[in-house]
Amino acid sequence: MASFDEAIPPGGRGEVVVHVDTSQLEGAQSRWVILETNDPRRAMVKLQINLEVRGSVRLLPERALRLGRGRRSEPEGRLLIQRDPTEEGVLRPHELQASEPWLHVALRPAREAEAVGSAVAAAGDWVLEARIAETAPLGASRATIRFRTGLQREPEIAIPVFVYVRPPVRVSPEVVRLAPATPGGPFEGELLVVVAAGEEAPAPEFEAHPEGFRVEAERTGPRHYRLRVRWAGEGAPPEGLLRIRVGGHDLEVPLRGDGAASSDSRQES
Amino acid sequence: MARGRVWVVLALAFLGTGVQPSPAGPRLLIEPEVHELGQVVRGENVEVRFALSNAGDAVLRILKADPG
Repeated sequence: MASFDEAIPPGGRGEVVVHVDTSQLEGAQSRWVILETNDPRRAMVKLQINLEVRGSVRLLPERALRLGRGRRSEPEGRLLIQRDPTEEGVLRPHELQASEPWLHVALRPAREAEAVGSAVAAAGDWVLEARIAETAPLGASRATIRFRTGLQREPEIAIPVFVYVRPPVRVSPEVVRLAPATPGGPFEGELLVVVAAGEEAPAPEFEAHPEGFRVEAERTGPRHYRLRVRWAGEGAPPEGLLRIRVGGHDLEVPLRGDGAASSDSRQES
Repeated sequence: MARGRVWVVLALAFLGTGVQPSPAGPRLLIEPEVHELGQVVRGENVEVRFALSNAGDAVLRILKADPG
């Protein structure tokens, strides 16, 4: 974060004030601010701050946990907790807390030469274990793990936890807009249903409301379906709702006639 | 033509003295541009001040400061 004097008269002085939040930094760090000015010789100037952040403990492989369910994330994770070499005293993590009920955490002394990511434990190190429960919310969410260190410089540690749980079933688009494909033709539209890997992908069951909407499903891949929706009633279709059930997961997709404006959608599992 | 030659001679003479006219407009000076803070205890909210001055003859404007 930076604040600055916007105008400095000839011969005058001003300043740029920069605040650096070190609460999530570790080791040697550089921060900078790029100034843009009306001095044609120094239209852009880089101001730099170098610092070495030291706390009571080091968290490896990084000062955060990334958990989830999906192609690139695991529901379980570990962090190695080491006393910083510049700190004195004995590391005794305790009073462990997670901010969310679906985040389960535990602390234990590290085993000799235990590998945690690319780090290897030494005597006196601890391991933090974290796991998300089945009840973790779908999509992206954030939680915090806290514990006390028993050390002076940093009595309490807060670790951010970034979580992403991929929905078991996704639809695209989230609102189906029906329009005539040819002038005077029936109002129609389509959507794709994609079942996540590892989930059962039986043919979707569906029903549309109110009466007058006709729906056909076509399998286009091992976990992909295309649903075609057509309005068989008179004139333009009213606002409707398509309910889809795939492998025990329920979704609701709004149906809109051409020109009707809406951005709502809902997804359940 | 003769007048043009006079200007060229004058300009060369001026350059030959090694004296540069002070540039018009704003002129930004910063001291220092790099701050070495050394060791900082984690959790501290560090405040750093960069001193600016304007050695030019027009108002210096800081248009933007983007942290990175």
